[in-house]
Amino acid sequence: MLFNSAVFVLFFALVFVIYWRVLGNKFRYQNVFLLCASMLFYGWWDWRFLFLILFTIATTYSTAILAERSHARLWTTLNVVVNVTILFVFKYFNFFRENALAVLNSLGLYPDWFTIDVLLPVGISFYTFQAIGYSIDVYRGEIKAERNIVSFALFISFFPQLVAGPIENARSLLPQINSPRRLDQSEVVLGMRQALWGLIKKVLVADACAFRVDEAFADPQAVMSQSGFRLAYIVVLFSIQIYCDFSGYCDIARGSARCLGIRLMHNFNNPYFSRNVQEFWRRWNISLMRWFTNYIYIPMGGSRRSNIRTYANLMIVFALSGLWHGASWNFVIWGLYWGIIMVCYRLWRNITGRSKAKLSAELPGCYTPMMSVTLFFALIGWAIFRCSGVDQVVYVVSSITLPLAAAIAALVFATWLMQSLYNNGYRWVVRAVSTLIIAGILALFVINPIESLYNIFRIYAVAVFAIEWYYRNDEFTLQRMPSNRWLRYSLYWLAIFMILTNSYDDVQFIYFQF
Amino acid sequence: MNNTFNTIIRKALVVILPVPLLMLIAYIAIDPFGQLYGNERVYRPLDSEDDVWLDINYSRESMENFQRYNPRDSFNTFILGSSITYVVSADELAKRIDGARPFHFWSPMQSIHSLMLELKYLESNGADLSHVLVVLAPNAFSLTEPEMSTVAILPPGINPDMTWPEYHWLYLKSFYNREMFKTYSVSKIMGRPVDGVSMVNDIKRPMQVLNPETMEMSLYYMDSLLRHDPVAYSDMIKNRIPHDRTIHELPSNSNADNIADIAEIANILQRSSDDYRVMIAPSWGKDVPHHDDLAVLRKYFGDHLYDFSRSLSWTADCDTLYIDRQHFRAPLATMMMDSVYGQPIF
Repeated sequence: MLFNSAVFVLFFALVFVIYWRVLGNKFRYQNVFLLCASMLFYGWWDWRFLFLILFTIATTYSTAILAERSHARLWTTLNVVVNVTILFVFKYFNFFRENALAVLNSLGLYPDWFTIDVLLPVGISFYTFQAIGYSIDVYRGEIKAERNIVSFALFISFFPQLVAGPIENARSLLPQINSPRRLDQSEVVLGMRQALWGLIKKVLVADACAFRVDEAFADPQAVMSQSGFRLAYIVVLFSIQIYCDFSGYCDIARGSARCLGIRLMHNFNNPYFSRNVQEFWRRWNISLMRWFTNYIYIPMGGSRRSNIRTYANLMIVFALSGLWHGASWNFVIWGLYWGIIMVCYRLWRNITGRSKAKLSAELPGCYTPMMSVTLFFALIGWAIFRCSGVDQVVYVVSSITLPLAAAIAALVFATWLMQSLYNNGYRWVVRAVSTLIIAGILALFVINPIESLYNIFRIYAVAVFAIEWYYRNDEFTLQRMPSNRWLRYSLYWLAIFMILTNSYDDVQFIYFQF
Repeated sequence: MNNTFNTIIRKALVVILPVPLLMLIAYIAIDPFGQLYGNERVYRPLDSEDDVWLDINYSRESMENFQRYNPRDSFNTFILGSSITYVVSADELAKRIDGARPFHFWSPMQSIHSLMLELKYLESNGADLSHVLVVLAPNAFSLTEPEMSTVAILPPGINPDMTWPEYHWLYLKSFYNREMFKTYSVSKIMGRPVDGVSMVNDIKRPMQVLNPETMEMSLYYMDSLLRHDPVAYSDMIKNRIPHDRTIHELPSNSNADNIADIAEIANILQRSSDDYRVMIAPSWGKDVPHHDDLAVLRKYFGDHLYDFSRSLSWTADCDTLYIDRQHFRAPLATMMMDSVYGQPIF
């Protein structure tokens, strides 16, 4: 059941009515009902997946209670091992088997191993991580083990965030589940607006980009014969697609949860407007990075040990983050790539002695070039992410690096120039040039010489980012709307009309596969 | 609580419902694909003077025609096949079979599966399948998605996996895809079709409303191009196939589904028909079915199979025997019928 399908709209409308109208004052019944709805939602893909999630719920629930009584380390380790094993079997077994087999074959050994031929359960990485996080929190004594099985099961399987996050923290979600919710009209309105914005991003932009990106990558041979400029354009489209797809999903998830009186955490905070790579990773998939920080990076020592140890920790965390995204070499390379970039960034910061605060204060007028440099690294990363196979990664990255590097060199020069101007008091010049650069890049994107001259989806894409920039200081986009009712309603109707006339196919969300 | 709830529901309905409701009403009022009312729209002729040219669903047209005329005419001879059978004349076939009352049941982009479903439909609706001529394109094995465009969606009467609401939902979505709706609206306002390049109104991708002038250059109007601009015709048709090509064997697609469908087709034909013949048409591109696929066909149809795909002498004459790479002209259809049934007896 996809968020962008008519079935989900009907499903959610029904859930909303029963949840508030029939069970409005009895939050425990509401929880039971939400749990049933979540199971229906998840079983809609394949009812057999339910056994897996129920198993995860049962083991995590029971081991947490047992851990609280005695042998905490043993029970927690057991639960982590069980969950990681499930994840390994369903997601990674065949990948490791193929690679081990290749190594053994090269040594002249030909073992007759079996292949596990199963579908990857939707969202398994998200709810498994949520369950592991809960277990560790109980072990650390940060939360008490949940005794109410319904509340706990709902914490793991709450349908708005079940299949693609955000990976919620028990400290934030469980108290909300265990306390009465009040129907608040303004909260429902805000939730619906947020969901509408998510749908706009998904349907108008992400799906249109997906159509072109998938077409370009459909034939592996054809990819290897495309020019660098063309590939760079496709990678830009993919970067827009993955952002609008994933953040669109999260907006719909947060919006629908809000309508049900539950607040989910912020998972995206305008990552493409980041000024450095570290900031990028604080704004992209926030819940996943928080999970890795809390449960992998900090226990390994984080940045409190030596520099070398910090760099090693960073590499490990990003390599694991890459592997979390999928059982494929390009995801591992993608993780390692980001690890190297983060290490380089820290090295540069350590060598030049620039603190974060100093960095931010140093170039207040040069937001655009810094943002562009960060975007350059993100684009190279997305190129690796989208490719299939090491050969393709090498070809695509080497092809797009030159055109993108030329652009980045121009921007670095512009940065230097503008910094000089800024320091000499020509602040208005810096602002004007920055604006011109942004306008030029956007114009080049909309009036595209590579694809057809004009296509409405590129205007939608530019509009989406412009609107997000406008609302960047708000909790979410569209939080504020015109006070005139007719104008507001007209905008809603226009958005709904545009969504309906563009949703000719129910396109899967990218992160469902993880 | 109740007041708040009622207010929310009222506001939500005011925001959400008007647009889809208006869209639904507009679709029902316009019925752009001629799928909702009156068989007349379904029977709309191919060369319709309709100001906005929308292709019709030939599968449904075949089904509706059969249901309408079979009680009166009691058809006993059927021609089945994809768009390539467009020129396989029912009258020509009738000249070769004594007592034939022929009916041409065709649907574009026909796969092996949809052929099987159509035969099942005919059998279950009491059709007299005394004489059946099945015309397969060389690439019939690789066509697996009969519902990819609005001209080829198998209607629920034939396709048991589709309900009428699902069928109309596909058309509704197709009409309101951005490009389709935009060009349809503009052409209605302007009173003439806007430029478009697509063959059909695809339900999975945004497509534009057809322009008859563009259509004239495509499938069924290729003659016009040949007359007016033989060089362009040559570029479009001839030069796409290497001159030195002898045979182009298509990739094998004898998967379990296709084999099961072929077996079912053979069962129905053997059960219901005294005289059935299956012929594989030759293509200008010299495409031939993979030898494994051909072996499957031979296994199930035996002597009833006529493979013309390797008749290279026919594929040498493009201008008079072919329209494009796959679609042949009436003279070639007649030559094949002569070969299968002999010369006309009437």
